[in-house]
Amino acid sequence: MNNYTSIIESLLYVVGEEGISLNEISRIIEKDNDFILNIIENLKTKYQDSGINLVEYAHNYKFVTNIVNSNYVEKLFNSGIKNSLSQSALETLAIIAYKQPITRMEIEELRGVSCEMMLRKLMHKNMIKELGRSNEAGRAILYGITDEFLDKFKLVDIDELPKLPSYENNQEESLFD
Amino acid sequence: MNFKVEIEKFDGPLDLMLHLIKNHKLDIFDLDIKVLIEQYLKYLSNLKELKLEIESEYLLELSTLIEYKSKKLLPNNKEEIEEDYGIDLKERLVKRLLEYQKFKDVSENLRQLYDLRRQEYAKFVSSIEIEENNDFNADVYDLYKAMNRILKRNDVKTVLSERVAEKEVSIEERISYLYQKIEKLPSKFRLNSLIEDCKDKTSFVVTFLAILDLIKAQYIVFELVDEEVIFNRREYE
Repeated sequence: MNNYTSIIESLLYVVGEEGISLNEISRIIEKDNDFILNIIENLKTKYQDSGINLVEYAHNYKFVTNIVNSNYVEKLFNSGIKNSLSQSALETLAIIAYKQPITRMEIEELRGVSCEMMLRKLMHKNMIKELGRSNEAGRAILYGITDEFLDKFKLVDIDELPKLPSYENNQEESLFD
Repeated sequence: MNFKVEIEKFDGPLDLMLHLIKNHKLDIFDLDIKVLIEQYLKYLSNLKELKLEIESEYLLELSTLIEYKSKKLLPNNKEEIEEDYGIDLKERLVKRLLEYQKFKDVSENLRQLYDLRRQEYAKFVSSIEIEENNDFNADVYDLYKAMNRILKRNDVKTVLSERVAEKEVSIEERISYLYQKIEKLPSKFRLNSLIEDCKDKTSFVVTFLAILDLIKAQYIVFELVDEEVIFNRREYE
């Protein structure tokens, strides 16, 4: 048991930001998923309060620095605070994530603004990808989110997205809190 | 004189409408379109006073609002409109506003996640010399991802989106630039003097196409002297 824990730890160290999937670990150590998951859980607990954490994003396990140390890590780079995502980028991503596969027209209808440039930017950042073509007239491109998106939003998979609020009639008091 | 400019920036017309509804305590489920239009127009005229550009999307939504209002003003077939036009239009707008509000709200949750994730750092994959593997199995997307990672690694510091936005010069623009440029050159000149400011392949190609156009228009002619192209400016009175 200890032996396998140590092997998985080494694998995680080597893969770095790329992360490693359950299947990949299973292929390498030739053990079944339950066996590995058990070790992963133990490792997560082991690292919990250390400077490095074991996380799972987009079904990939990886080591990342503990968030409580981020100020110190950033000092190392001397680079100041990175830009967050703009509101319009976030809204566009949210719409794509919850509504995928979705066409540009449908996104624009929802946001009321044109978003061609935004889609290009998000494609460039590898946050969204083309999922194919719509069967409707015009065969518009269908967009969806990428594993990179899941990773950047700390999600294991798309089902982990925060629940979309539902605003029904007569709930106005809760709408604009 | 002291004056204060206060103008909020909105993410499009729906964002603006939601803001107006909230600020004027309108009931979104029983929307008073009249008040909404008034306030909407007020915001747009503020923009205009400040000589700020009004994006076309705002005008498009405004036209929908005004269309609704004007149909309602026609006295004779009021009922008819209420039934098969007005209600539809209003309901549709309310639906869109509610739908938009959902995504606006949930994007705040997403922002929190994103900002947390940005504080977690991972290291690059260890570099290992890998023997060539012939059963290479990947689709275009894998390739795209791999390429993206390489680019990311090579210039982490440059803002990629800035590069995308880089303005590409059209052939027409290049032609008019070359016209001015050639006028300042001696009547015989080399190719080099036309392409010295080309920094990348695209501008090189555009310049070349522009030169072909200039030759076609017989503004310049060329001849070969010792295997080098020499251009001649045609003089016109």
